[in-house]
Amino acid sequence: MKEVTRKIPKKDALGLLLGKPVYTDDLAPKNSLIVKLLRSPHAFAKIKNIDISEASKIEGVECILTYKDVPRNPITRAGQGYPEPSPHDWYILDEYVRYVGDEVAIVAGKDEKCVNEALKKIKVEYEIFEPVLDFEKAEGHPSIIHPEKETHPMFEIGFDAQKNIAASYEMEIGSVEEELKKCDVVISERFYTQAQAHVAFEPHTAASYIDMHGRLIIISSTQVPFHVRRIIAEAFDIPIKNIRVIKPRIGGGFGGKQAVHGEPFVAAVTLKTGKPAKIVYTRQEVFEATYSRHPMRYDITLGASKDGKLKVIDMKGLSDTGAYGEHALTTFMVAGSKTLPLYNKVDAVRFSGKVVYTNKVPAGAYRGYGAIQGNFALESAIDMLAEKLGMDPIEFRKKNMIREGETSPIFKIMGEGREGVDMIVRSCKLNECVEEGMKLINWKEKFPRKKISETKYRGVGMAIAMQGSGIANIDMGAAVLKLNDDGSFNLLIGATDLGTGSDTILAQIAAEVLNVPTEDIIVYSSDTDLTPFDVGAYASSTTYVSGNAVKRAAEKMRKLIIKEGALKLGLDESNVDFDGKYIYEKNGSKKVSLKELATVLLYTENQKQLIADASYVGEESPPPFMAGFAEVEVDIETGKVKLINYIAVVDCGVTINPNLARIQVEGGLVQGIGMALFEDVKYSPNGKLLTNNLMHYKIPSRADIGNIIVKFVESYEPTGPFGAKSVAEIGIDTPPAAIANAIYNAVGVRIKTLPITPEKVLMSLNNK
Amino acid sequence: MIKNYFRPKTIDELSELKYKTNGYLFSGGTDLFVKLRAGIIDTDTVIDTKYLDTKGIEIKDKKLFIPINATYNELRYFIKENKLNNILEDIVKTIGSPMIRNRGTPVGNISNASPAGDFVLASYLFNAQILIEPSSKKIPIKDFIKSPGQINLEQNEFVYGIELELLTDYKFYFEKVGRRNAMIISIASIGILIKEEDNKINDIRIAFGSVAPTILRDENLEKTLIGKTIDEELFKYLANEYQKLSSPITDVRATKEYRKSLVHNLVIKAYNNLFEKVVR
Repeated sequence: MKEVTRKIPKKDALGLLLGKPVYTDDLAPKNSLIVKLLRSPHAFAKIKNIDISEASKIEGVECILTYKDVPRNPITRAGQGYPEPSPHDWYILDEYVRYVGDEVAIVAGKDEKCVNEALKKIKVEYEIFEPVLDFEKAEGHPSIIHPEKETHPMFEIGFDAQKNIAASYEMEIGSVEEELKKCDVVISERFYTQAQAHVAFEPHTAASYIDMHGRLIIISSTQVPFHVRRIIAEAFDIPIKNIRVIKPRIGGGFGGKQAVHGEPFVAAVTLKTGKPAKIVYTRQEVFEATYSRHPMRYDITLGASKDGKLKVIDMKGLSDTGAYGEHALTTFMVAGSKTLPLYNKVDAVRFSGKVVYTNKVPAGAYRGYGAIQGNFALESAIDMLAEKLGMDPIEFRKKNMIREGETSPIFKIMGEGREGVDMIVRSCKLNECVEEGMKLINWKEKFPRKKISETKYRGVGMAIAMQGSGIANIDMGAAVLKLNDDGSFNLLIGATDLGTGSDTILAQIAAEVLNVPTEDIIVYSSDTDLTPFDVGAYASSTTYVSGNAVKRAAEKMRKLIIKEGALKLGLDESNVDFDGKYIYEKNGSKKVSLKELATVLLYTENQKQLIADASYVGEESPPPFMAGFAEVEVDIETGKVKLINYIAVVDCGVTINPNLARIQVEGGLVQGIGMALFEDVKYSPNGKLLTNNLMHYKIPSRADIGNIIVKFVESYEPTGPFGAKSVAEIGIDTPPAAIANAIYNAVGVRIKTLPITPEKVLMSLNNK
Repeated sequence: MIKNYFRPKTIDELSELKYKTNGYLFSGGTDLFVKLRAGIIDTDTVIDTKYLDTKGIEIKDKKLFIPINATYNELRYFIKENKLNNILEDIVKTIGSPMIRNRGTPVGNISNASPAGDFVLASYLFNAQILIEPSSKKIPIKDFIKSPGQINLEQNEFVYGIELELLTDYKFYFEKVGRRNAMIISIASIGILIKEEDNKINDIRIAFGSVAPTILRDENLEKTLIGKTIDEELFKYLANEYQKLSSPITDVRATKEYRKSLVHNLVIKAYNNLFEKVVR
């Protein structure tokens, strides 16, 4: 392969490095009204009265909108397939405020100064309710967070607002209770994960204006432009045809932009005033009033026979979706569907639990999407079970884990929000990943611990993981290829490059099929007027789903070129081929260059525009796999954990661009390490997020992540474009469990609540 | 909101401006502007001290003098050039980030009087004298800092510089425990200076950051240690004593229980590193 597997830089890398104006805030109309939001200081309250009279008088203030001024249609902000599996429980503005940071009023004015002034002068009277701040006490709490009758799910998701339940789910294969009786060794443990923040460099930003035809144009830092168009149409009761959403360059999303955030507020202002408007969230707003990861609790029971066969997995979960139920059911189900198939040979497996509302920052999509929460619990428990069995944790995993050519009943039973798809795992090099990782970290030498000094111990630990490649039978991506007169191609895709480099790898796929340099493919993503539909960048879908669409479109284009070339040469199509430069006679000397053909097609002979399109929906979702190995040094005097090495050995099929695949894994690892060790989330007793800035919310710095080694094993996924699977999320899943296991192996302390702070380690050592 | 910005060139000019406007002094701005933006400080006047004519960091009368406007990076450079106490370098290099050290100043740090201030800890260890202008008086750091954020200054006065003792033949240990390895505010920190003679203490100074309303240092306790034999037992005694003396709070970084544990363990850790197997 010439173009696929090329380690070329991202197509946008130079422009971004040179600081070209390419982000939403750069592209917003220069005369945009500045939009800011008055946010609730209370965790749960009803607005009794809002007085905007004084604020409205401030010079420069253009409009102030309250819940009385905007349509009240229940929607979900979550940008997912349609109908959405998230309850429709959100309103542009509402008379209820359900968390500290919830929107109370929209203020627009000519500059920040007058808008800030106006925010201070709005007088709000609240009727304050007792908030629900403990998710373990949410179900059946006397305070009902969504008492309004309009809130509803689009289909059965186990929703029960009266009990503060956003979604619930239960499935069982075999009989867990019966099989547990037959097990020689059983463990039951409880784990907690925290509400991790995404911390994308670019804060959530949106701009809007009305074009000459009276249509609403939205520029947005979003992962899901087509979903934004649909959701805004629904929220404001305007036809989809009257909305255009443009996604420029994006400074990271990680799931945090898989939703509408600022878009409805700028749209409300533009629709009201007819003027351009923009909103740029402050870092504090991003923390307090967008999304976090769903905090979850898992009670895990595992049962095995003496010889080390894992027989039973029972996962009972509780998830905290905060004030709104975005991605509530689906993140919860993924905690099972993207972990349980790892151990596909059990006799019985059960996954059940509830997702509850609380008066806290809403939870939503975040890289890993439930899988990391489930993985921490399951892969920690697997180590604990192996120890009880007296087995090496790796031997135990190898005996029980999934192998190439096998399947799991989970694939069919658990999808995302509904039934899944039966599939055989055609590519699975998990065993190779484990073997290679053991070698790279020198497991045999280092397991379980080495004493470095009287007060420092080093330990190694590991975990395995799987993710998916898009959502089978739901996620659709489409691509259009257009031939230009110089023989270059425009590749128009709905797939949303949010900094990942997907524009580049999709161009590489098209270039490989057409046998042209990637540099001849001009990529444009994404714009609901100009590019074909794509669900967007989430669920590790772009390489696999959009990549397959691009590959098909390029194959069609190749056929078109051969057809038109044959006509030009006066030959039968069967006697003609295309090598990327020339369309030539197979058994003769006639040929025409692509450039010449392209020029005459546009200007002189047999005139037409060559254009090819294709769509792709995955019939399955081939999982990428990985093994993660951590080596830590624990200081037993302070409880500090130093991560020395992290080894990631990944099977994501063929890497379309090995450099870009590597940075996807590295970025995932760093966020996983952050969740494991650093990123603590704290609330005040009355429900205000205290860790609402980068001073208090510590993401790992370069000095904290030690040595990271990423290796890809040779693998080929037959259903993927050129053998590829997706790679966006898999890197994030293993660090919490692998690091927790390494710490246990080092000093015998088992931390089951993330993050593993020095404080937890030291206090556990003190109590040992 | 800032409406007035001044650039005084002399001590008297600065003093007068401060007296008249009650404005905030601004050198690096690494703390001031963060607080202004967060709404913790509300002032309309900023007095830029960077145009004062000062000599820079210097050694005079066998003491290290760090004037107003001297940055952490300048101090590090000076320490390196003149081969001075390495503990000071150990402390300064953990402060903020390279960008912060390029702008931030020791004088600013002690004027903030935070119990977590790393340079405040250093000032206690090196018996700092604070030079105050225009009165030209010198007061010891422990009398200068009254309580968190509160310092001993008249409205017309400002800190002109910090004078630190230059110590030789001292063993030292410094550790700052934070939530990560860089760009952190300490959960707890310890600095120890020991001069020994025949395995006995000739002089000892122990200071803790972030475990009490101000830096924790007990000179009376230190005095009782002179002449004592350096052994594990002594440090176990000290670990318990300082744990009793500390009065930490629970905040967003850590609980008081953890801080109490750290006070104890850091004393033992310092001993292990200074006199036992050193692995750092």
